[in-house]
Amino acid sequence: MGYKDAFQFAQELPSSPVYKVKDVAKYVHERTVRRRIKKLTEIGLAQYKRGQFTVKKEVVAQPISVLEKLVPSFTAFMKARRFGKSYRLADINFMMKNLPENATITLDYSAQKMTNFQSAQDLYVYVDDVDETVQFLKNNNFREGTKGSVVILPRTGSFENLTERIFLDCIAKGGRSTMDAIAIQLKYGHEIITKARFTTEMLLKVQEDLPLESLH
Amino acid sequence: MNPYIEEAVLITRDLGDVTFVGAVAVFLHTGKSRESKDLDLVVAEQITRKRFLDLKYRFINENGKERIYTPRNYKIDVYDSRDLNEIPLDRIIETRVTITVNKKNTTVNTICLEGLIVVKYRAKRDQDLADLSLIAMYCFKKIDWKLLRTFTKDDVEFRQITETMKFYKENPR
Repeated sequence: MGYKDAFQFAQELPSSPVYKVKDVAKYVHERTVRRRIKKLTEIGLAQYKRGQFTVKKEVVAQPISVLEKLVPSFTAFMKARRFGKSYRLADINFMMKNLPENATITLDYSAQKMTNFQSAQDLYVYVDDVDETVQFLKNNNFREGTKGSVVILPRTGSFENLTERIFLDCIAKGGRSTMDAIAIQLKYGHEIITKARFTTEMLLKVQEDLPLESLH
Repeated sequence: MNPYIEEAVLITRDLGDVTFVGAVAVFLHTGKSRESKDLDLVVAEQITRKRFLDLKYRFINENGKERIYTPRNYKIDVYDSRDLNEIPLDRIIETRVTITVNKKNTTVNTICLEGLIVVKYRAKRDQDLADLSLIAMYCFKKIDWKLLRTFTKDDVEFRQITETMKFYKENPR
């Protein structure tokens, strides 16, 4: 995959919301640091701006075997396009009513439906033809930007085992979606092949907060 | 109305003087959030077990811990003595804000934006950083930096929080 060094670099960073290149470069050559960040940025695991960067630590903490399985999700997320019109629930309702043929919902809404653990925020939809869906949204006065709640993703990788795919997408997304992944693992463990790694703290938190009825 | 905010209104009606923290607070400030079915709240004085039971709240043992459930089946975590990530509860109550949640002028008390940022920054869990990113995206201009400084331990922590929020604002997650 060619990302192994970058993953290792990210895994060894101390816990911090934002890093400064010059601070990290005290231990590794600055040029190497920048190369590693660039690699991570390419697949959406890091964000860099003006000498500072963030890393999705919870995602890069996964074993290499899991990270390799996340590549289709990373690829799709990097090409994600976000749309909004009223910037309210109405946008999501509109998209739900007008889902393209073969569309697959993932992340927030699928995780909520599966586990009833967290409320959903954004509607992430895999589609066969991104351009066609984007044109449809634009024809209906949706605007592309960073704050909309409808996110269009190109169908990338396998969807044969949908539970596994949603699980992997949740891991790849990181943040609150990591808790969705844990909830899915707790409830649908028998359908998941990939053995992901989560912190005990997170596992306990989800176990405690997962509605009791959803485990039955 | 968002069901969690609706529940926050009902809890306020039941318990009186409460201040919401956690994911509900993030929603109240940003209008966005992903809440699990539990609500965190701060109270000035301990609420007795009897009062909870009289109000039809239930105490349930889960994994060796006693949990409180509202009559609507929402789990609540009540802070009445322990600090919240090193912020004293009386400070949270003193600086809280009251937010109108519907057209009937129903209000809910919540931790102020600045206190919430410091609580989330100190927690540093993945979900907290995601919440900080949401706050930076939707509320950056509303942050009172002078007030925020009063919640921090020192200039170093204040500077780190400032840099983090600026980075998140410029780089939505």
